[in-house]
Amino acid sequence: MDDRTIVELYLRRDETAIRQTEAQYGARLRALAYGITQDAQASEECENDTYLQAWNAIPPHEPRTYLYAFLARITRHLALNVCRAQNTLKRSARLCTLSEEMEQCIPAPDDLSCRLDRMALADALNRFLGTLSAEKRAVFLRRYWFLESVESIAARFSFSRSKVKSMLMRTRMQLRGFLEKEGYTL
Amino acid sequence: MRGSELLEQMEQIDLKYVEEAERFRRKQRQTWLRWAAAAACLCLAAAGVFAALGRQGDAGVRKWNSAYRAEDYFRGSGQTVPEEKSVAPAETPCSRTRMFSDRRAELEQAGVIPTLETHPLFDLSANYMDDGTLHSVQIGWYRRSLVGLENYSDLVLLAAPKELRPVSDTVDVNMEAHVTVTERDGVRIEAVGAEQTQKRMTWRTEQGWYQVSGSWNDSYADVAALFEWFWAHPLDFTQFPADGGYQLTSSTLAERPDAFRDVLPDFASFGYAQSDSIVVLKDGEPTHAEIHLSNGDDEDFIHWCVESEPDVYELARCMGALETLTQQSLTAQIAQEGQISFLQDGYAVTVYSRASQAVWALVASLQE
Repeated sequence: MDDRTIVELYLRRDETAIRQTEAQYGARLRALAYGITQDAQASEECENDTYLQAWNAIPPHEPRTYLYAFLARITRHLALNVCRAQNTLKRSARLCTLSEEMEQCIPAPDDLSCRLDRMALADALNRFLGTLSAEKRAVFLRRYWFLESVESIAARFSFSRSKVKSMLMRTRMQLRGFLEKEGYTL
Repeated sequence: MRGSELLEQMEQIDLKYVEEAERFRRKQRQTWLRWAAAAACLCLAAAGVFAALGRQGDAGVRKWNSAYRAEDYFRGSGQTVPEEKSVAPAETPCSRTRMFSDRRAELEQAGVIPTLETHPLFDLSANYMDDGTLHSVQIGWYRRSLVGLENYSDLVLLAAPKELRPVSDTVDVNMEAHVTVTERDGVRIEAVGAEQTQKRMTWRTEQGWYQVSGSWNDSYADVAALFEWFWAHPLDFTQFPADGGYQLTSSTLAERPDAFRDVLPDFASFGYAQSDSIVVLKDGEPTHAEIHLSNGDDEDFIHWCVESEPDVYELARCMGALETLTQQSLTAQIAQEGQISFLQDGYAVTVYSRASQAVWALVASLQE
């Protein structure tokens, strides 16, 4: 069943929507959650919670042309929440690494306050992403949105690991330069 | 802000980039040209039936006869091919698209397309290569229900002229099980699908490549009827010149603050910020807008949509004209449906929210 039809089912409050979503995207969502949480049970719960949240969010949302991205955003959020909840017990090494990498994008790291509000930050990130080539953008998102390992990205794009690392480093520096130039302080 | 927070905030980025990253494939020059050329003929990112054709001899091909029924095209020849095979990365070779949806009646009258009175929604788009030559045409007839899915229907024709250019990039092909091949007047017609699933019929003639498809709710007969029509009336591709029709583009309200200025409430004066917006432009003129309003806590506190060319279903959902709305009627509607639709100066406005008081305040400001 195509995305438009699935969304139509949600809009009509037909519970078949959830079964169809699971059939179409369940494995990918579970894999996304597992990549973040590294916990099979938690990733299954994230997947199921994604369906529930999608059920509550459609309508008013009507993600006919971006259903997977819409669902994946929910899953990502839920999976990161799981990690946050487990934070005091065991912090994911991968998330630590990713956080450190993202720290390099921040012009003036500052843990006291967030001076750029979320919407302005989202706007800045979107504008920055718009300046990148599709390939660089995809690599950047696979790393910092899908939270994939460098090895996985290298395999996906048929790049060497070092090429992925250097692409990511250059993009992080570009983002930092972009935010500085735009006068943002995070 | 720390790196961990920035990592979390990445979730706010535009989902179009997420979709792009999910679908992105590196361009590769491969030896798959034969496959790719066949597949790219119709932007067959999802079709796959052509790929099956290349490996199929005469065994299992059904011969058409005058007693052939719609379901016979889909009966299944017992052939099974791997369910998915990634032949190569996908890239559509088209560089631009023009819309011809406004010409439905004219094209029906000229006999270029069938008259499907049962399907009130229609769109027609044509894709062109860099040099302006036509690549493919997609025509869709759609039907919905105001309540439920009983009448749901998506009937689509995808067609391309025969003159096709080989592509250097290649295409993902999903191989589907149970392709039924029927030979009719020397032409092979491949059909895939079953009851309660999408159905597709694909064929090639001297005039071009064709594919008709129907949704899970369309019957074999619905899809076969569309096939029969285009079998008897090959599409006249000259109807879709590269400088004809109109173009749809999208923007944001921030980029086009003039869009629907006269019919939108002054959201800022009510303390709402726009968390997201999209403005659809028809040859540069705003035709549709969606604005997501944040109240600080909830980024989708109110979702406000304006449509300048409402379809029959949008019109049917309207409670009435803006002037006739009352707080009582609006509150009852939002409590029941979580949304309200009304007409305002010829535009159809739909508002999604659970906050009826807040919506009423905005609506009342428009009534003043």
